Amino acid sequence: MQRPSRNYSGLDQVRIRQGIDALRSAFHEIYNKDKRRAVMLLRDRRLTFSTLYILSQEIEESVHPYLGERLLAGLRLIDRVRADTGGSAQRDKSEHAALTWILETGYAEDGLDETYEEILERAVSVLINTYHDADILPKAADMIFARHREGRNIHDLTWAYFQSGHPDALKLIARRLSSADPSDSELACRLLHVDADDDPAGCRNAYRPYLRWLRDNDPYLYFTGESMQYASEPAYYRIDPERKYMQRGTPAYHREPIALTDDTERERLEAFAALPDEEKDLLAERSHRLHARGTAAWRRWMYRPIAEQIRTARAEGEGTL
Amino acid sequence: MIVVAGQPLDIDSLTGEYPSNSLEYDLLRRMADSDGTYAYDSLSDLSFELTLRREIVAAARALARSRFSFAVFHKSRCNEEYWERTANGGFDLREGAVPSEAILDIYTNGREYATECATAILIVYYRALLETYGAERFNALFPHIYLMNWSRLDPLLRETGSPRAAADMLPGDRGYFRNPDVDPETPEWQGENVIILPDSLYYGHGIGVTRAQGIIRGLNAHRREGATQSAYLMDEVGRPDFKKLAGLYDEDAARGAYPEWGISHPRVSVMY
Repeated sequence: MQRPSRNYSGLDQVRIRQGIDALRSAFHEIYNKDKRRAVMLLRDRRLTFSTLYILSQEIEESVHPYLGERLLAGLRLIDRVRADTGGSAQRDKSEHAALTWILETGYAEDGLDETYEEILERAVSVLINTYHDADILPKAADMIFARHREGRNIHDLTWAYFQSGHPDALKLIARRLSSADPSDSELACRLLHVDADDDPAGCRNAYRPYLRWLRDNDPYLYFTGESMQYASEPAYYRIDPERKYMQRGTPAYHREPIALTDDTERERLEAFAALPDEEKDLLAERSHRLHARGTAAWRRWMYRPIAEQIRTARAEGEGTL
Repeated sequence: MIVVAGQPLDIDSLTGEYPSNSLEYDLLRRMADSDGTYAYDSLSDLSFELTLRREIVAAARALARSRFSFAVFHKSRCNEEYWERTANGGFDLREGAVPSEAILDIYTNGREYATECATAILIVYYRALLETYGAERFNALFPHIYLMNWSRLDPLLRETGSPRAAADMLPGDRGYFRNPDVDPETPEWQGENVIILPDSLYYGHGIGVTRAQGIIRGLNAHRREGATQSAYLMDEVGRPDFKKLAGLYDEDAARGAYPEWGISHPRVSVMY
């Protein structure tokens, strides 16, 4: 039998010590005898979302006015998922706080049932897409990998995670490349598009090279919006070869056109844009490496005709990552 | 342009094979008029692709008519007699179930099934292959079927999960409408996988058979508050590897290499 700490609410202590059925039955009895006491137990600031979810069908609308905004937001989200309706929620700071509470206190019980999984996904999705809350990414990453280990659904959770368009999203996944659990490293490889020939050992060895690659290419990365609904191996992010070739990185992680300063830059970029993808990658990498060595040599190279740039890049065997 | 065995094909030489009002004829005309090149090793490979495209279109229309419902993966459901619902909401062919019967059951007992749009497109492919190969060959080629988005595709269908830019969007292709401003609480509306049909129509599971505007309207109705971007049709398409699949048919038809598949009533008319 588990011994919950005093940091748990009374209702949570019943759930942890005696299980879900005992919690439902105890709450049912209290609720029918003394609604005021039941409400007081629910309003315990230590109450977890998982306990609220388990009890949600016992709680009648008549007591809603006494529950407080956080619990109400939780109950409304539960109702929307059960009824398959979209977000008509009030979007404001109190919702942000409520969703954070749902995730913080609810994620340990992810897997309670499929409705519960869907509720947590929606919380993650709104926190990322509406409130641009990147602080939840570590928890969301934990959930993705925990679910994957158990063969549970990661379809929408992964979509929401990469919608963050935040560089930490890649670093948090990259850490799992070196995981001792083959399931984690295999998924990390797949999500990051690390080519390891389906070899878990290859994935594990890819951690440091990937971080180096990420550091090098970070200014040119953008998130694509691809998802598992679209493709078998969605490319969640890509390098913008034009930015890399022109050495014009951006802190934004969405694709945006380069602000050109003169006609020479325009002509150079037009010539580059007309190349096949393989040659674009070759020149972008060559440009990046030259620039890292020194801007004077890079400028001279950039003024050469594009055909010559390709020839020299090929001759020097660069362009492979 | 169509190229067969390295030579440009004059499609007028095939008009006897396909009536001018047939889907195959329309496909031939569009491929011949295309700026892209459609290259085949043989006429039989071309014939196979035309047949499979026709069957994909027919399977999509039939699925739209069935009572097969839309549901997110967490609420997906299937006929447990043929399929085992997995923890992630996918459908795994039950041990001992006959693949062809299990696929047909989705069409005949549609009300017992519900899932998302990507899985629906997979079901369309399987039905089309069943009609093209016949049940015995189909069952031999696809003894294990798993239906769940694009993440664990049968090797014979792997290419359908990798959309690419193409010169044309042809009937039988998989297209994708993306909804960049989707309501974060309804991620299932982040986009719609569709089968491209003739006459500028599309089949999308949960929406039905309609024009592009119908799909876009359906997706736009599920956008976030203050959305500024409309849903749109992406310019990439997913296609099976027709040549690989034709090879599996022809190998047997030509040489009887797989008698255990016992094809007695081939449904593809191979042209020479």
